[in-house]
Amino acid sequence: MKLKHLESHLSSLPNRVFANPKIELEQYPTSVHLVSLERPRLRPQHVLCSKCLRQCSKCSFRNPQPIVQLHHNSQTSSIVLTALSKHDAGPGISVLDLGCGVGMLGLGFALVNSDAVFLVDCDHDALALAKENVDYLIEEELVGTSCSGVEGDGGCMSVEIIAAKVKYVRPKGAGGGGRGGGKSGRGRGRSQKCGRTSILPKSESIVEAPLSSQMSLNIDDGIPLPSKVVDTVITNPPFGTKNNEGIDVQFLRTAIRLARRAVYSFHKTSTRPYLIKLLGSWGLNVEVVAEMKFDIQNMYRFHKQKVKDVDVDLIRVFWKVDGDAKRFGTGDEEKH
Amino acid sequence: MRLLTHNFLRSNVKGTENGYPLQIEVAALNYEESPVNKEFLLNILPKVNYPALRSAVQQISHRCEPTLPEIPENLDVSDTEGNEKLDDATIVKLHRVLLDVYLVEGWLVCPDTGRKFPVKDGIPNMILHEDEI
Repeated sequence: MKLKHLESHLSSLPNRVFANPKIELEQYPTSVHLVSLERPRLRPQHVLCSKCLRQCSKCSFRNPQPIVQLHHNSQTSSIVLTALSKHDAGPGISVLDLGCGVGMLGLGFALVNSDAVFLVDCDHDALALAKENVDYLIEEELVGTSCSGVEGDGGCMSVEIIAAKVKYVRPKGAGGGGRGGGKSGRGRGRSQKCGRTSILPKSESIVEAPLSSQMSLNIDDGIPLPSKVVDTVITNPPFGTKNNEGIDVQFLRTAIRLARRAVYSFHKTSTRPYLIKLLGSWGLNVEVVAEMKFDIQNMYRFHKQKVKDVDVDLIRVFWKVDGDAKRFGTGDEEKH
Repeated sequence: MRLLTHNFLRSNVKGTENGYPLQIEVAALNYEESPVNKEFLLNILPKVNYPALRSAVQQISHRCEPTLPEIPENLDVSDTEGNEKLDDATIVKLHRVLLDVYLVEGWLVCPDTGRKFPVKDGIPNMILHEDEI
């Protein structure tokens, strides 16, 4: 799959933005930010240590880790192709898009011939738009049982939509009530950083429990699917700045429960040290596969600045897998 | 919604012990035969809960026009190597029931609590109310 083909398919989707974005769901048209007609810059910009994920003079030579740096026009397509290059997308791989919105990311995965894609969101309006997108791709024979794949060789057989909501449990002691949703935005970098690193780890002791014990606890995370139901989960969670602190981690944990192979998730760069520590405590591997800026347009009334750039990481959480991509394995053979 | 998705879905209403498999109440079905992709089917079969699939087929078959093919009563699909020995006729039937029939309108009913989850325009709504979480 060539990048430009993927891009042109994605740009031809009928619905690429939310018709009536809902602030409580932090619905931003990331699709617009992530899709553009310019070519992405996929060249590694700098080499980071894969352990501390910083430019580390001590260990960078032993363990160099190229990071893709994407600016403004970072793209769904390049994210999908990154996943493809790591065998987390494509033939034999099943994918779930958690909080799919109008489905841009999940459909990007479908267009590189991933076996089956599930789109999950809690907003019926967004899902109605997503369904139009799916119907369009089926009509064009780019996905579905009648398609032969975008470049032959078997395509995405099944794109299914499910309305479900990740259960949000407000961490004790977070926020303290009057966080004044009026002024905060997705780009509320500095103050949020304090909240994330200081409040959450202490109050949410459950978060730092070993993952195995959490797995049994958190089947009731609101998503009506069994654990390890797909290979790869991609999620662009709310960042937890709308009086919903910690929701990004709850999305991430749900994504990890549902995936057998890898999880791709977007997080504010300011939360990186916390997430690395957290995922480490869960015994998982994590790498930052892309750094990007979300340019949040002035789209809600409370936005003061015209355009606000937010530094965002695309992280990849993964388990060690033996051999080639497991194809809809039983899920039991891979232990966390 | 395909039966493939139904096979994965479970109810997680408060007070549910198992919540699986969901019973199906049909208001509208759609059946469209499509080319069989054996490789894809062999990939997903080990993930499929066969008794749940068979029970789902039995629940909706009479509402389907034309009626769905009968799938074997007992089949162990958990073993990838065993699945490769399945004859083509069975593979086609499994493809038909897993991928070619769509529940467009209807309900999914939790076997424990009786909670009915609506399916509208092919999208199951599994969102719980505040007091069900």
